[in-house]
This record gives sequence, structure tokens and C-alpha cells, in this order.
Amino acid sequence: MNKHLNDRKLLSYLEDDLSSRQRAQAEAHLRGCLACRARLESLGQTAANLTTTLHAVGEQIPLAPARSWEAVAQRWKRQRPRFYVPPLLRHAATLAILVLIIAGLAGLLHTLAVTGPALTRVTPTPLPTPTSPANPASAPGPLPRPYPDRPAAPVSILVLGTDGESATSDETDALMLFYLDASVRRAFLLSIPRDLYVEAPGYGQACAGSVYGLGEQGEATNGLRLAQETISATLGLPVQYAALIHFDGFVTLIDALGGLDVEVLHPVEDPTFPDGHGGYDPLSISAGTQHLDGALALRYARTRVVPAPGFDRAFRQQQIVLAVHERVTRLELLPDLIAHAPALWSSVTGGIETDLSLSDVIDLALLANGLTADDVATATLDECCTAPYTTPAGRRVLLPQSDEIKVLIEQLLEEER
Amino acid sequence: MDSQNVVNFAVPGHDDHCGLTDLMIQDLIERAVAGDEIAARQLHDAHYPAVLRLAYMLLQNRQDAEDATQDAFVYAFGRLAQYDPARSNFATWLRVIVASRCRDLQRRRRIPWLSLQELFEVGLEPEDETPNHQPDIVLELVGVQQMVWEALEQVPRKSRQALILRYFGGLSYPEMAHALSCSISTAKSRVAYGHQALARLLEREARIELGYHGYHIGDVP
Repeated sequence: MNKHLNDRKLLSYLEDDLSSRQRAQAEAHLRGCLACRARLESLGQTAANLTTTLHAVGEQIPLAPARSWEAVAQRWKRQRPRFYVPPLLRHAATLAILVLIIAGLAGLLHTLAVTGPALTRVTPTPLPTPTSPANPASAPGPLPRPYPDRPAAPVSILVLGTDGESATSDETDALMLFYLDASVRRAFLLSIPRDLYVEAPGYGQACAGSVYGLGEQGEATNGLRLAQETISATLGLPVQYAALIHFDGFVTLIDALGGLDVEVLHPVEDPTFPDGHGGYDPLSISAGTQHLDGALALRYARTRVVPAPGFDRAFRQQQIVLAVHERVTRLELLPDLIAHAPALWSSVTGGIETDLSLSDVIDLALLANGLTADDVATATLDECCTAPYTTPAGRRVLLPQSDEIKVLIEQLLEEER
Repeated sequence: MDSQNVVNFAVPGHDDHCGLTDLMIQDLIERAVAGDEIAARQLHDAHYPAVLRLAYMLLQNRQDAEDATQDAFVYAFGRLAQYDPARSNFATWLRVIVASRCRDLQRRRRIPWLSLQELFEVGLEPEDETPNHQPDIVLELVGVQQMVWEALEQVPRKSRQALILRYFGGLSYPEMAHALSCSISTAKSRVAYGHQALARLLEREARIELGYHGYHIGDVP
């Protein structure tokens, strides 16, 4: 007879965790070996005794579910994203549609975020309704205006972009104001240079890009509120909402969408792309249609090399955001998106911090959904309404010229699109 | 040997459903992901007993067990969106999380404890540690259960925890490996070693209690 079975083998035999061949071998040995049979029985007995003992102990442990829940709820609330979804919006399909709307809005904001040459026209996609979530047949067609009778007041949202790499200083490196007046179908997007020297209420003068960080350091720690008030005062325009978009959140979103196909017009070679730790992480993308994952897409959009005239950062950023927007609004993706709703949902909410409530976002998305890129005027607070200035500390900044800004905003508001 | 003669053993089924069907749990999870506190509380209350008990077994101290339980729920609720019902049962998922929290808790507290241990006590097995504090619940156990529990307390920590996860938590070996951050093979070895240690301890105990026949001690091959 072959050698005895060890305890591990015997336990696996007991728990039916052997291949049929191993099992047959074990049984052959057990048939002829009294010692192993006895050991097997002993192991089974110990396991059974252990199980009953442990459960008897378990029954005696006093429970305090209410106290535990209080502690859990308190800590859970603190770590929850600031978006709150009302309980009635609980089904996966509804969630998926919300994700679509929000992702679409985020995509739209990014699409519109780049000033410069007119953007390619984006065909408006009808908003899927919760009753027919997976119905690609109902695809293109004239857009039904949601809430046609709803009197909509104009809204302004300040959007701050941060890359997380400068997280220590809380610097925001992209600021833009999105203004939307759905009642007259007018919208504009105003880019605000981060070097604009503004008056932050209660904090004195600072660069626009640092205001959010200042507010986060204060006692109230509300950077969004401070940025919102500062920009509102600088522009002389009420700003109702503010949102901070982390680029890494956008990366997660692109990955959740399965990456993007982008037509790279010229090969991109950037041997000095920063790796975020003071060194270099060379970037090399060849020409042609490339499938980019989230991280690569972000680097493609951010590299400062200009391989050919017109193929600059702003152009590449447009390409990325248009690709996201297209992908998110493609209806044949819907069943897939529904399946991945929870992951998508957390990627979108994880990357955006805002004082907009979810219902605000939905309303805005419905309103913005009727717009195309052509409906939106774009402008930048550049030399037209700022003056260069060097602060006593030696920093080169741009001083806002309030009269010129006033004229610019009046023009934007009156412009017939 | 006929299969009928094999000791019919399986880890007894747990009340994994906690009075809720899978469908109900899935619905509660979706609502909790969306921020619904009532749903989250239902999930918590349904699974709290199993989670706390497992934590108590692993840590042998009620305060620590409650801390680990809270940590586990906060962690789980923060990652509800990532929970995949196709991969594991929700109750099992929570057990793996709490086991891993218990391990973290012990590791954080190990350094000061070990130094005291080494100063004042000698002769302990190096990988073993007695609990951080004295057990704070007086258990009422009789007969075999009393013997098994006392013996279990003397089994080296890693093997003891493996036995608890296997026979109280009902975790599979891959799940144990995940909870303990070890390989599946290591998890199996720890259970087997735990069995051997337990058998030795029980045998010694039975020899002391002469005339006691209620407990079956297997022959060691």
C-alpha cells in the first residue's frame, strides 16, 4: 500500500475538494488503511465539534445593532459623494440613464471648455426615457424639448478643473464659466485665466487658480463657495453653482466607457512629459486611428508639444471630449451601460465635486441637451479685458479691467445665436 | 471504502440570507449605493450579528470586535458599487472584509504588545499571541464545547483564525486566502495545522480528565 494520507489530503477528501483521480487514489488507500480511516473520522468529528462550539459561542455574544448602526451611519455619511440620489431613483435602468445624462453633461462641458475654432457640430441625441431605456430604434430624430412649459431662469456654473498632481497646493488649472439661458436658447462659455488677479472676499487679492485652495484652507473650508463668490464679483454676474472636476475622474470615466478611438493626425513625441514626480515619462503615439485608454487619452490631451500647426493642445482636447461625448450619447451602448451602471456612477460622482444637487444636474442636462456646440458662444478673458501686472512678490498676473469685462459679458448675453 | 462510510461532513450552512432573499439584498444594495439610509440600515441590521460574532471570535474582545465591525461596514458601504453578486454572496463578502479588518487591527497593535509579552512571559510559541485584552464576555459552555473552546484558545493565532474562518465564517479556501492575504495553499495548511494542534490539546485534556468518554479522540496515524 502506498504512503499514508496527510491531514491536508484527508481534509480535502472530507470537503470533497479533490479531483476524481485524487479521490479514487485516496479511497483506494483508505480501504486498506485502518489508521487513515480513523484519522479521517477524527478530523470529521473535530470539524463538527468546532462548528457547534463556535456557533454556541456566537449565540452568547451580546449584540448592539442600533449603536453600531449609529457609528457606521455617521462615518458613512462623511465619506459619501456629495451627490445625493433620492430613494425613488433606485433601479439600475434609471441609474444608467442618470449616468448618461451626467456623463453627457460632463462631456458637454468639456466639449465646450475649449475656446478656439468652431467645434464640429454634435448631432443632438434624444434623451432616452425611463420607460424605453434600451430602444435603439428610437434613435436619431428631432429632439423633443423637455419641460417645454417650464419657465427656466438663466443659470451660471463655475467649472474648475484640477489634475490632482498639484493636489498639495489645491491649484485649479482650468476655470470656466458656463452660462445657460434655456428660455431663449442662449449659452456661453467663458474661459478665465488662472493668473487673473482677483479679490477673494475675506482673503484679499489672489490668482483665480488659487482661490479654491484658499477657501479649502479657511475655517469654513468651502473652496467652491469662495471661488463662486469671487468670480461672481469679478464678472458682475450672478453665479449659482460651482463644480470641481478632477481629471482622474475623467480618466476613470473613459476607462469605464472602454476607451476611445481617436484619429491622431500627426505622430506625437514628447520625451519630456512630466511623470508627476519631477522626472520624465516619455510619451509616444503614432499617427492614425488609435484606441486610447483613460490615462493615455489624458496625456494625449495634455502634452504641450505641437507636432504640426493647428494640431495643438486645444485641438487635441476637443478631439478627446468629442469622442467621450459621442461615446456616451451612442444609444447602442445603453444595455452595456445599464450593466455597468454602478461602476459608471461611482466613477462620475467620484470625479466631480459640486454644490449642484442631482435634480439641478438633471434639469441642467435636460436644458443643455437641446443645445449643440454651435449654440454656445465661447470667449476668453484675455488681453481684451485684462492688463498685465507684476505683483510686489514678483508674480506676473493679469489685472481684470472691470469696464471691458462688463462690455464683453453684455455682448455675450445679447449675442443672437 | 464505500462512499457511505465516509464521514458525512460539510460546513453547516449559515443563515446567509439573514431573512432576506438575494433579490431583496440586491435591491437594498442598489438603494444604498444611491444613498438611501433606510436601505443601508436594513443591510447593516441583517448582517450585523454574523459580522460581529465573527469579529469577536477572531479578536476575542468585544470592544475590538465592535470597532472592526464598524470599520467593515463603513468600508463595505463605501464600496457597495463595486460589489459583484456574481462573484460572491453578500454575507460572505462582508465576512471577508471583517476578517481582513481584524487582521489589520491586530497588526497595528502588535508592536507594543509583543514587547511586553517578551519582557514578562516566556515559552509562548513565537507566532502565537494571546488576545490583546482579556476576554470580556463570560461564556457558558458545557462538556465538549467547553473543552473545544478552551483548546481552541491555545491553538496558535494564525491557525486558530483559519479554523474560525472555515468552521464559523464558512469561508472557502480562496475566500480565506483573500481575507488573510495568503495563498490558498497556506490557508489549507493553516486549517490542517490547526486540526493537528487542536487534536493534541484535546488529547492532553482527555488524559487529564480520566474516565471521560464523551469525547471521541481520533487515532493519530
